[in-house]
Amino acid sequence: MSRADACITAEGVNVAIDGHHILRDLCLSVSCGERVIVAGPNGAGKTTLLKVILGLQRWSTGTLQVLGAPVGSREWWRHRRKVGYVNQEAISVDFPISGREVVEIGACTLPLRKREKRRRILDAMAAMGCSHLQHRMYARLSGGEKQKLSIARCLCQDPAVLLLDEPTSSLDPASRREVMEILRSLNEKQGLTIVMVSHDSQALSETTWRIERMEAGSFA
Amino acid sequence: MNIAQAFSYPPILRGFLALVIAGCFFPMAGVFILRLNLVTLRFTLMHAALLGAAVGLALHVDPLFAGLALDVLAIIAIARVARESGLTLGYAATFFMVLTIGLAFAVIYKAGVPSKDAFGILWGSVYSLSRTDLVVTAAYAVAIALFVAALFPRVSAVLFHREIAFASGVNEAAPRCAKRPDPVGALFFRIMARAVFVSNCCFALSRTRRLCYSLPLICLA
Repeated sequence: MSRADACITAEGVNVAIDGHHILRDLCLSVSCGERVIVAGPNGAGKTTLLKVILGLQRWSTGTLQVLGAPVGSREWWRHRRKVGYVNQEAISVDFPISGREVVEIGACTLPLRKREKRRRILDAMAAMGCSHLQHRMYARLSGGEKQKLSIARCLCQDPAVLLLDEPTSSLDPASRREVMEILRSLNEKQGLTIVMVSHDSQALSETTWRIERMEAGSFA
Repeated sequence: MNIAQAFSYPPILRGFLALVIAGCFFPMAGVFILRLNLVTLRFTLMHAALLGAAVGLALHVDPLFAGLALDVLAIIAIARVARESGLTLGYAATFFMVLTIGLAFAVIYKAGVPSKDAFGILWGSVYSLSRTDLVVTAAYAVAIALFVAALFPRVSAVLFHREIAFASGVNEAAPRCAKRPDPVGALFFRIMARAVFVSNCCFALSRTRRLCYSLPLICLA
């Protein structure tokens, strides 16, 4: 599939949870290599949209394709790790796991040799400026540090698409700028498609991103 | 009798070895049971094993084999019902626990199976372990250790966060992406839930009726 093709295509997608319509006839088309910010009030269905694209949430009607394959199909199943995901809340764990081990999760299903995996993990951590966190216990890290590790974990996956659910929400202004800059550079240099949910006014003022506004389950 | 003399008795030595093996390796599986909130599943499997033993004894089949078979079937059914209905595994396991214990007692009563023999599958003495039991225990322990060693990164990904594990390519929640819930699974779950509800209501009614009959007698007394 060429980069110019549509990377994510949703047509008439409906999601209802416990009788409440979360997504209504949602249509979205994201080209490969594009960077999109999805904005909207709380409860607009932004997180559900990301989960539907990931295959984590069922939808009742409509069609959805990611990287040219219908979500749920055999083909999609084969290359679904090409879609990286950073979730909204900082994950709290109550067992010992280091920063490096968290990043390693992104590479856990990659058919690579140990040395290659290790190199990839260290590269991803260096790209996110969190190499110093490799031996720190994840549970003791701040929200911002956890968020940086989450993005490094995604990069480790060698993704074609990055889905980010408010990745800068727990970062200070300097780190926020830094993360946005890294994402922009990943998009420009590696052609990574990025779909980011954000409330951040600074992110929404970015003129180089396509901004889509959601309201009551569909794009305004 | 000192410890060395005690170990000269094969049943004691076999029992001791089985305990050491189980103590060293089985907690590895226990960690996953606790982390994934599968504690109710344990009780369901005990009850399914009891049902299996009752069915086995009624049909003159090895109760251990029948118990294991019923456990495997129960796991498949619970996983399917939980995934297709969108309920947590704990809820689905609880329903199956009630269902299997009810069926077990029905089989024991109707087929005239000695209940002591059926319950024998759940309890026993560590000294009654045979050499084969010891070999099976050791093989199971090795299988757990190999599983953990080979798949530790994937398992730790699931323990860390199930959605993240799924997004990282771990086959954690395959059927979630199905477009519609399976109508057969959903119907099965509804029937089962209603059966449990109705049986509980009948039981409560029968108790109330009996209480109403005996109330005047209690008052008179």
